[in-house]
Amino acid sequence: MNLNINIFSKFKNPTVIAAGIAVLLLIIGEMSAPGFASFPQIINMLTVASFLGIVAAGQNLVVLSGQGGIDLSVGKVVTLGAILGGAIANGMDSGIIVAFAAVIMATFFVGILNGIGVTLIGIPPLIMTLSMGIVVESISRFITGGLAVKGATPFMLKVVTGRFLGIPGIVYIWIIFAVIFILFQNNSRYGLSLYTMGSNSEAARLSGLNVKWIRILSYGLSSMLAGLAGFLYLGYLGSIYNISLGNKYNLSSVVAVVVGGVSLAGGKGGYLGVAVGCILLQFLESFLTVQSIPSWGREIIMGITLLVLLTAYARETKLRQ
Amino acid sequence: MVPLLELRGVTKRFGGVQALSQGDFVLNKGEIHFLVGANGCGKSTLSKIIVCALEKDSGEIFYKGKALNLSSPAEARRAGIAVVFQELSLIPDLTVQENMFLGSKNQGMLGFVDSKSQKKMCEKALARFKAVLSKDICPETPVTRLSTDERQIIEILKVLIREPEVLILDEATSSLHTTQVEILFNIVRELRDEGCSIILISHKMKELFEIGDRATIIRNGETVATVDLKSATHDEIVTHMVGEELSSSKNEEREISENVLLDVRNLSAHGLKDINFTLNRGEILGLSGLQGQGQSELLLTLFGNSSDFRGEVVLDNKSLGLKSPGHCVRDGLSYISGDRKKYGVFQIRSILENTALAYIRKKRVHLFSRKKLKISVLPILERLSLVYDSLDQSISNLSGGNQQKVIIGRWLMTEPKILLMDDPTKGVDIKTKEELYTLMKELCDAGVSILWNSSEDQEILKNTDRVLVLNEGRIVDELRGDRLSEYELYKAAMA
Repeated sequence: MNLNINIFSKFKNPTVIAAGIAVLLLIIGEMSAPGFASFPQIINMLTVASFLGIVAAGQNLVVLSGQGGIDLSVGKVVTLGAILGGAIANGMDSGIIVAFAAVIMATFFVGILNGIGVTLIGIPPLIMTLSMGIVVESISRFITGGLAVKGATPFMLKVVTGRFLGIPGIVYIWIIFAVIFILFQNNSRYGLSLYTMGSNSEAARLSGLNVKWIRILSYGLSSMLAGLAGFLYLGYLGSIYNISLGNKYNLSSVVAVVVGGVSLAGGKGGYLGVAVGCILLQFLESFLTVQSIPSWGREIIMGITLLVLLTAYARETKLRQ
Repeated sequence: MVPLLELRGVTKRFGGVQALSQGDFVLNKGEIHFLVGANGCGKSTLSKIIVCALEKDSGEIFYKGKALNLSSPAEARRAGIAVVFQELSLIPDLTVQENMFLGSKNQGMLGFVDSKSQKKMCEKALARFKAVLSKDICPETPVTRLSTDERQIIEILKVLIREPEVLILDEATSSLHTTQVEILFNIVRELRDEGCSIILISHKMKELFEIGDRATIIRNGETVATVDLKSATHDEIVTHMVGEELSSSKNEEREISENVLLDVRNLSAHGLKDINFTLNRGEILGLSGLQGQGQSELLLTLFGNSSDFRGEVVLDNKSLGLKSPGHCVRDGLSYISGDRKKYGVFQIRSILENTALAYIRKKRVHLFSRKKLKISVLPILERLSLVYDSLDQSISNLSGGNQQKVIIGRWLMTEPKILLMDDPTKGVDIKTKEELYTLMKELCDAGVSILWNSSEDQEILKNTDRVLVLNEGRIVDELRGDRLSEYELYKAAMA
């Protein structure tokens, strides 16, 4: 009897559900278009999912912090990370450390501003981060002057796209990142603080936590991870022609987080689920592409997926209150 | 003479609690009648039943000699019975005039608002309180701009312009200044002389004897006596309130060291005035009095929630900054609220996380192993005899009493010097309550000190070494030894 309940509750686990759907997509995709689930194809999909994976990790932190936390500037920050990194490194390995440090610091600063706006000034997260996105985009435009940035250095290209055992470097980077990030969520004071204050901010404050600072830090880290993803993305693309290249990460990072079982009310959901959510999203997008569904159709389906999930979660949030 | 309003055998039950078991009440025409009683005795329940804000379970109500069967407060208002509750019902974004006439009959042609005549009435009403309101208040002032006491006055005026025959004021004076109360009382007297009957719920003995004609005393949901205030004494009323005392349930005297742990000097903050007391090592010090007299504010201020406090708080010969809960935790304080859901429990998070948070914060642990954390949590939860399946289980699955144990465990892990408890046994079952009392005594024997506010008079009289009685943010009395009785408590609380 007890065993039955355990199996049942496993099936209700969002991570397990997302993984199940991902496998299902692979099977259906392989049936309708042979080669869809081949090893090189799966690796390709994972490669693309890696960047989203790093962006969504930051989104995960902000959403966990609760009180409607969401970061809709991540898309523009990904672009900024790529462009700023490219402009500083300018294709030379000698400048890579400076470029990397500049990207990390600049994007962290952007996120801290987001956090201050939300926690100290009281601007709703949605409005604060969207407005910040506009500012960030203008900065990117200013840096490029409207021209393409050719900035990936040979080393960056090698690290991100160079293959070991047929798997590109970025996938290894993501796996290592995921392991560290999960440990960070579960076994650090910061992680524990984030989960508890997401569950009950006032109780966390009365337990001695500096709730405001932790929230500001989450926005900072979210932005910084988006910047990191952008920097790596530059290594993947080699050069940047398009100032809107990061935009898709805004919505897809939120979808990935929700698919991965993170409650938008805060305080619940870890990175393992989010990572699986990212993979599922990439599988879904590739699947729809293979089915010759145009990009607008894919976006409609992404949007509907998010709405359906949010409806399900709205119910759960109500139950909690 | 037929009384204006009469209640016979009215009862009301909330779930398992009998809030009113025998409500008999007679209100004559043209009198000022007080309802008095201890915390939670059923005064407010009775007044809410009269205006049908609550439905009675049984009993009868007669109004002007006829049975009264109301179905809503609006109907009561139409019948001439109006009430001013403690909770403010004004809409902040509307103006004074709009609020005053909200839902009233005073409307012009075709149901449109006749704002000219409304304005006149409103100005006339405001003029009565002119001396005690800010000068720039006019009918067009939005209510958001008013202070709490001004809002209370508008609330009262809102009811008065409807010219009720029975007016109920439920602790309407608690947020007013002395001069404002005086004016209100003048109006109340005028109304009485015009033939209106007024029911006042108040905790202030002074007010009672100042303007009251009669008073009905309620004890544990039963109306025990109605007295004529011209002949009754203070003592007589308090005796009716607390009844025959069971003096046998006296607590055993504990040996308390004379070693002062916490010394609070001239502490003032929002809702607190000039608080002075000391807390000895190993002592259980109770905070009592009528509810909402600053007990919670005192605990919250001591836990770093008040940015503008004055005075000095010394713990172990070290002056405390009380900057934030975080600072206070490091200084050895801890805070347990009775409102677990809002201020204590992290729903959906595990028992482990709920127990370990404050410890991890205080010890500045950056990284931890969950296994080791579990091992350090176990002895604490065992000491609290908490019943649970696994530490990874969500705290939401535990009963209220067990959740409270987890929160106590959270603080015990930080090895606090002082536990600040704000009505910690609220909503906790009797068995767990007894366990908590025993635990508190054990902790104190081990050298921890407890400052304990409770809304249950019996538990605090039985389980503490001393009790401070608060009234309007001040300490008005200190009870110890033989004076630890309900009689002394209410005598001090209502003086």
